[in-house]
Amino acid sequence: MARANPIVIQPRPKMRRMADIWGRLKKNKLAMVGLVIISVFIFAAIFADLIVDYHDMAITQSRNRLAPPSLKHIFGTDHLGRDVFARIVHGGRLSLSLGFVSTAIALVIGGIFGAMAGYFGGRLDSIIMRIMDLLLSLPAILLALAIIAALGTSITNLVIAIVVANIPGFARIVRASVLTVVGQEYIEASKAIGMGSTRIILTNVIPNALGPIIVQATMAVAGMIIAAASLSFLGMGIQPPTPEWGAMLADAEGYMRHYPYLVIFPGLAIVLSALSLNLVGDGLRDALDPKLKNVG
Amino acid sequence: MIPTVICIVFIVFGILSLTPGSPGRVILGPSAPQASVDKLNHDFGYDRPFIVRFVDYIGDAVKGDFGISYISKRPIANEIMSRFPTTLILTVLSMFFACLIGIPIGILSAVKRYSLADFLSTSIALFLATMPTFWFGLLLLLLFSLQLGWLPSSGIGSWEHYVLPTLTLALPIAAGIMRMTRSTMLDTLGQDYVRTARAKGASERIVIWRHSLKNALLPVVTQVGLAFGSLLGGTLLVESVFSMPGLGMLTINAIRQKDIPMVTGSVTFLAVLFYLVMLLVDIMYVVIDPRLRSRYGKG
Repeated sequence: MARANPIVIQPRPKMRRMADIWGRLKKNKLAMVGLVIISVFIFAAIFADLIVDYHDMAITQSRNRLAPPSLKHIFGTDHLGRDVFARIVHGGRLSLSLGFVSTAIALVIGGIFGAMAGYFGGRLDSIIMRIMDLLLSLPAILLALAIIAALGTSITNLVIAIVVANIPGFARIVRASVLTVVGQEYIEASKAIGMGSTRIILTNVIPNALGPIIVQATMAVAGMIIAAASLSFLGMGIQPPTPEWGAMLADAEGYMRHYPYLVIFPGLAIVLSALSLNLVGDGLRDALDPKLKNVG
Repeated sequence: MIPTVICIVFIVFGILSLTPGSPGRVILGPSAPQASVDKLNHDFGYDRPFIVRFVDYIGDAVKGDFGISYISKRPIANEIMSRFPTTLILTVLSMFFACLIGIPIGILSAVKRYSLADFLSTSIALFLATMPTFWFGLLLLLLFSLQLGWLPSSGIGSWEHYVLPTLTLALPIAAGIMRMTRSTMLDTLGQDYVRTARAKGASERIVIWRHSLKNALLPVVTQVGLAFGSLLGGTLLVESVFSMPGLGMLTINAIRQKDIPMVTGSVTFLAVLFYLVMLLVDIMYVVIDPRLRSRYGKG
C-alpha cells in the first residue's frame, strides 16, 4: 500500500521518536509478555553462574542418574546425573549467543551487500542481488548441511552455516530500505556538500532505514536459535558434553519413553525464547509503522 | 531455467569442495596414510582441477549418473531413487493436509473476526509457527506413540507410520497458511468490490466464496510454494526423529560417515527438486491469476 507521504520532511528529535515507539510498544500486551520472557532468558544466561553452580550440579552428580523433577533438581537429572535445570540455564548462554552473534554477523555482511546494491544501483546492484537470489533458491537447512559436511562440525562452522543462509534476507531488506531513502533531498544535500559514499550510507541512509532492519533482526535471532538447535540435534552442531538446548534433546531422545521431562524442558526453552522474540518483533513492526496496524 | 540449475549445482559443488585438505583426507580421516588418500582422490577424480570435475559432474548428472557412494559402493542415483518415494509421499501428504487444515480455518477466522474461534486459532497458529519441527515431532512421538501407544514410533511399514511425521510437518505449515489466508481474506473483505457485491444484494455466502476467496487465495499460493522450502528442510529432521529411510536420513547419514560423493549427490538432487517446485508454483500463479494470464498468456 502506497503511503502518501513516506518520509517526514521535518524529522522530530530522535528522543521523541524513540519515546513514541516505546509508548506504542508498551500498549501491545503480547509484545510486552515476549519482552519479559526474553529478558528473563538473557539475564539467566548472563548470571548463570550466580543462579546455579554448573560444576556442583552437573559435573559431580554422577550418582543421581535419571532422577525425576524434585526440590533439589527442579527439572530432574539426565542419564549422566547432570541437573537439567543447570544445563538449560548454562546452555542458554550458548544457544542465545549463537542466535544473537550469528544474526549480528549476517546483518553486517548482508547489510553491506544490500546497502551497496541499493545505494550504487546499476550493474553492481543486479550482480549482488542475482547472487543473493541464488543463495535464497537453496533451502536454508540444505545450505547449512552442505557447509558442515564440507568444513566439519565445530562452533565456528555452525555459525558460518547458519549465517550464510541468512545473508540474502538482510541484503534484501537493507537494499529495499536504502532505495526508499536514496532519492530523498537530504541525501542529495549530503552529496552536494561533498560527503563520501560510505559516510552518507552510515550517517544518513542506514539510520533512516533502521526500523525494518531491527524487526527483521529480531525475527532472525529466533530463527537462528532454532536453526542452531536443529543442527545440534542432528549432531551437526554443538557436540556433547557442552550444554546446548538442541544437543540436550539429542541426548534425551533415547531416554524419552520413561523420562519424558528430559525432552520437554530443553524444548520449552527453545520454543519460549524463539516465540518471545517473534512476539517482540511483531510488536516492533506495529509500533514502528502505526499506519499499517490500523489497516490490518 | 537451465542456467539457474547449473548455478545451483555449482554452489552445492563449490561448497562441498571447500573441505579443509582434499576430499580423500576428509573421507579417510587424519590418520590415514598419504598413499591411500592419494589413491582415493585419484579413484574418485578429486585430483583433477575443480572446473574439470564440475563440467564432468554436470555431464554425468544429465545422464542420471551421480557417481558411486564411498561407503556402500553403490551408484548414488540408485540410492537416491530408492529413498525418494518415502520423502515424496511425506512431502505431498503434509502439503495436502496443511492446505486442508490451514485454508478453511483461515477463512473462518477472517469471517468471524474477533470471535473466540478466531482468537483460539490465531493463538495456536502463532505457537505452532515458531515450534521447531524436531521438537514438535518428539512431543507427538512421546504422546501418541510412547505414552498412548496408538501409533508406531519409527519405520515406514504401513500407512500408520506416516500419520505422526505428516502431522509434525503439516501443522506448523498449516499455521503459516492459516495466518496468510486470514490476513488476505480480511484484506479482500474490506475492498470496494465486496461492498458493491453486498450492496447489490448478494448473499453472504456468494460474497465470501465468489468475491473474496478467489482474490484472497493468490498470495496463499505463494505462501504454499514458499512452504515447500521449510517442508524439504523439515523432512530432513522429521525423518531423523521417526527413523524413516528417506532422502533426509540418507543425507544426514552420509554427512556423519563423511561420504562426500553421496552428500554432493543428495544435496544437489534436493536443491534442484526444490527449484523445480518453485518454478512450478510460479507457473501456477500465472494460470490462476487472470490478470497475469492475459499478460503472459496467448503466447
